[in-house]
Amino acid sequence: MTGSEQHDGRMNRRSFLARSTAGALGAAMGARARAQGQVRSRVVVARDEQAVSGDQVDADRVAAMLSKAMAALFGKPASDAWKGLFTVEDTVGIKSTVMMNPVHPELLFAIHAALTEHVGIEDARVRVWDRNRGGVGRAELATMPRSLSYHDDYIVDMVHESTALINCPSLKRHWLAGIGGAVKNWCGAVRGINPMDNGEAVFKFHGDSCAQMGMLNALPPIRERCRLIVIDALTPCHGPGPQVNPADLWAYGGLIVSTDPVAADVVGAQILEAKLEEINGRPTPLTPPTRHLQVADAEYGLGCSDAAAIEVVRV
Amino acid sequence: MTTAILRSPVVILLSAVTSVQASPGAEALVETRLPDGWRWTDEAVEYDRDSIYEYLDGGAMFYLSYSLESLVVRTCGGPEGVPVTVEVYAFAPGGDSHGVFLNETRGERPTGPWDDAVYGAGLLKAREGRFIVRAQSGRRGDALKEALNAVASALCVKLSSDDPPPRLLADARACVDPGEVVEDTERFFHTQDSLSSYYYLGADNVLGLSADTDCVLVHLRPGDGDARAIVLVAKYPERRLAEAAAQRLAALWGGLPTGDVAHVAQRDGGRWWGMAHGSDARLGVVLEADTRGAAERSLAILKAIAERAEGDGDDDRQ
Repeated sequence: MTGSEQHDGRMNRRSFLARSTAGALGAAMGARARAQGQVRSRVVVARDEQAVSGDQVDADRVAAMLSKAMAALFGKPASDAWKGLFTVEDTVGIKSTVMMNPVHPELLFAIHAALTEHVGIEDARVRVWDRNRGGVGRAELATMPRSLSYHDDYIVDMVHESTALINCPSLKRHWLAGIGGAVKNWCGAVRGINPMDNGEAVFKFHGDSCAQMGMLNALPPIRERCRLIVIDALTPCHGPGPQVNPADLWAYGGLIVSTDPVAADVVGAQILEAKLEEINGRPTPLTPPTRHLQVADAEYGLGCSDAAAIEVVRV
Repeated sequence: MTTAILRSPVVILLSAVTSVQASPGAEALVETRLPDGWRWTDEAVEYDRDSIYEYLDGGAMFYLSYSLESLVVRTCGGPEGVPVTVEVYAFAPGGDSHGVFLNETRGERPTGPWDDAVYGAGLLKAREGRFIVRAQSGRRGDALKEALNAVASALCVKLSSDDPPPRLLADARACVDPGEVVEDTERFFHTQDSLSSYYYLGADNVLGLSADTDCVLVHLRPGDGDARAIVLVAKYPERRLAEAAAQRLAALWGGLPTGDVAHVAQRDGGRWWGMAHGSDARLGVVLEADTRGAAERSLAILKAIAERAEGDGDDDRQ
């Protein structure tokens, strides 16, 4: 952060553009990798259709899926994968979703168990939040009873208090952005995205189908600390929104796990489009298109938006 | 009744409603008597155009693209303790409630004291005049469906009002054979964001849509075959705005004579498109059609819609 930004704790578009230099370099490196035919990102899709039955979610099956996905993503036993990604000293903030197809608590419990049992992180150092509500430790993961505040940089304190982050959204269509997934999930980590916040939005990304949504994921405290993406695709929503119609949820019984938020969303979009094609009997691309994923790749260097350069591992 | 402009959501207490101004939605959620065995389990909370983000966040912009005046939310519970969240959305008279209702209409179509309703998987959405009522539970089943029906019915009786469809929507319905309409594809909206959620034309607002434009979009099966078309009719405040939009679209997709059913063209990818506008401020666009025949049939329908407005005082109401 520049001196002036440190002074008033605010960021503007110019500072975003300055910071995007690193992102552009990342994107250029990605382009070179593509040119050489290299896979840029690995995304694991774990499925267990028996994990969801009606309104019930089988916690044991969800935990088993997560374990299989971690092993497949890192090519080692799941416990080693967790230990390789986090340390016992970490304070881990899990960015969940409570609105519009909330993340299932069974998934949050599975993540908590992996962090505490495999890595040895203390219960109270595993936190979860969405927007200005959060919880500390297992007992508060599902209820998020605490009211959170925001730092001067508009980012919720939970981010600053964490040494590591896990991005844990649910999978759904979004009427403004095409898909609500990993990149969009950071909307719940900041204030200043809507006109109601201080009268005018600080983070202006809503134009062109939220094309600049990646600016939130690119904020240094988020970008530098987020180590894992776990998308809850147990019951994705294929409906147009803006609110979830329960008739549009289906028991996919899946988790999408990656370290690349853009690639994870690309795979999520493919799952939604396949479902829409099944329903409509003809190819049905998401509308609006997921413009923010291409921009997150090309302008912010957040990950791979090229489906051909993503290795999808199904377990 | 005027809706107060509020900076934060307001919890509505019964005494407040009976002594000071309250929106019709708030009155309905406080004063409506629930079916036997059901009771309100919390206080009603009202949101306005500024505070709705606190309840819907990203979804708020959908409602803000229409003439939303207020949203009131309250929870009730039944004999078995099943919680039901009830939302009442109030829009300014002029037909916007039709557009909000049409956003998604797949499901059962129950009858009741409302203008229109759809039910599926524990959600009942009803339109009564300028109001939308959503009653939703996390559970399903016939008993719950009946309960939701009863709760929504009581509210719709209380909210009873009249708000005919917007003129453009009524004209479109008059010109399109219902048998040619693909299920759950009729939409009414105003803005570029809404258009993009139904059909993506590009990053730029090529059609110049705004809160002052009315649009109807529908998927058709024009004619006897399986070929489909997606068509749009937009009504602008002034004819020059419609002409400018037509010019921008023609420049984007390739020059095309307008207003003649004989002139449709193929775009990249093989889909057909065309445009038609009459002497008023309406512009019809065949956004895409599977075949030339489907495009020409659709263009003829669009011309008919445009011609209905000519010399007919193209006001907003039916």
